[in-house]
Amino acid sequence: MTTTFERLVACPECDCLQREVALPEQGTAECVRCGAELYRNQPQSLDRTLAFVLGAAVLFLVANAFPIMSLDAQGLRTSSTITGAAWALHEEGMTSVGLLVFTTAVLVPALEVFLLLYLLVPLRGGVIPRGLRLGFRIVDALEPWGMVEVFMLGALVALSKLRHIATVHPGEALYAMAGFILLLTAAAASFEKRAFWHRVAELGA
Amino acid sequence: MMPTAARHGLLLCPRCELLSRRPPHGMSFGCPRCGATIAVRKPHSVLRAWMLLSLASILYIPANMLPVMESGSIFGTQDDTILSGVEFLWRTGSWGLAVIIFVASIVIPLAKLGIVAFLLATAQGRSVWNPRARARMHRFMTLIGRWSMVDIFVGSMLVALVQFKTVATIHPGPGAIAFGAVVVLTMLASLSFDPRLTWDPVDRFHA
Repeated sequence: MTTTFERLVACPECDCLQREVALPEQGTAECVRCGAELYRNQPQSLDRTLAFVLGAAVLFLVANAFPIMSLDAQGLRTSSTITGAAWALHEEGMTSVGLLVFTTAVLVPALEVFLLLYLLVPLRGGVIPRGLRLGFRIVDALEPWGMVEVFMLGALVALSKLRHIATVHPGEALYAMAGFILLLTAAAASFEKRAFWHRVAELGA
Repeated sequence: MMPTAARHGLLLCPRCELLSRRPPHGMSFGCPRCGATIAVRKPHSVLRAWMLLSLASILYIPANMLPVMESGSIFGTQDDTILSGVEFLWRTGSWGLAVIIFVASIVIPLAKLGIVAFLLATAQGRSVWNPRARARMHRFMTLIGRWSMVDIFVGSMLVALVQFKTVATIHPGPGAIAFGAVVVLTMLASLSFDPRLTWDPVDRFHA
């Protein structure tokens, strides 16, 4: 049996060992030595995260089902969804770049939302979902690879570039994507690892 | 001298942040709470980061030399590299866009290559120079790195939308593959680097 130390925290960035202090609501503890964020105190962390993720899930579906924008030129109209943009690269023989776009803009965010729901909904109801440990590790590892906000900036740049040569109509998905980014960011800011594991311990893993 | 987890025989889980006692044998073990592999420091951190960084630096050359976009219209075709694309935006008065693409596609990748190399070199040389500044550089780099993907996403939207066979078409150029690889490799390099290595010489810690 491995002993654990609940009262001490180590900085993930400089390994400095320090005593845990109680925080006011919304407070953040920073490492005394390197300034990295150590932990936060978000009241009802898991409930808030779940609420934001539920909203994000709905907007994610909208953002992927409708076109980001459409283009009118010479009496012709083209439009594209996020996946359509990745697929266009594949059709042009750039499957690797298409996969990169699909992975970072669609697959990773979809997995993040799905796994968070898979973990948090049962925990809310007092059940520990199967594969909780693996699910948690995957969500944590995916974090750097979700790039919807970067895609959004890219879409806006494309939109203003195309405005010079044709009539561009922003699509429903563009607005849904903006909402999705806000909600997913709010979910990430509300999610506290320690609250998550505290809940798991309460339920007796 | 600061107390560190390593000196006290404690290890922090990189995923769930549980602090647990280091087992008597072995350099790594499974986290008792989430099952992630915990090591005193990320294994082969410096070597892996150097390898990924070298590969990224090599690919950085074709990423900038080869065209990332080929636009065709009734007036002929035009190949654009990243830099000539920025130049075109600037010349045609889209200064804001030119700045966004210049920062995302040129400044950020170069800054990342430079910062990772600097962090690796100083950690390897067991430098004790301003570790707090180096820690801030590491955090800053982790924050901005992803934004270098912008131009790839711009390109994918343009390719998908501008498909008016007879009037105008946009095709991706081979430079996009190299550039995408540079983005992924620099991200992997910075993820391989263990920021605690910056502080180990300060702590005179020998594992």
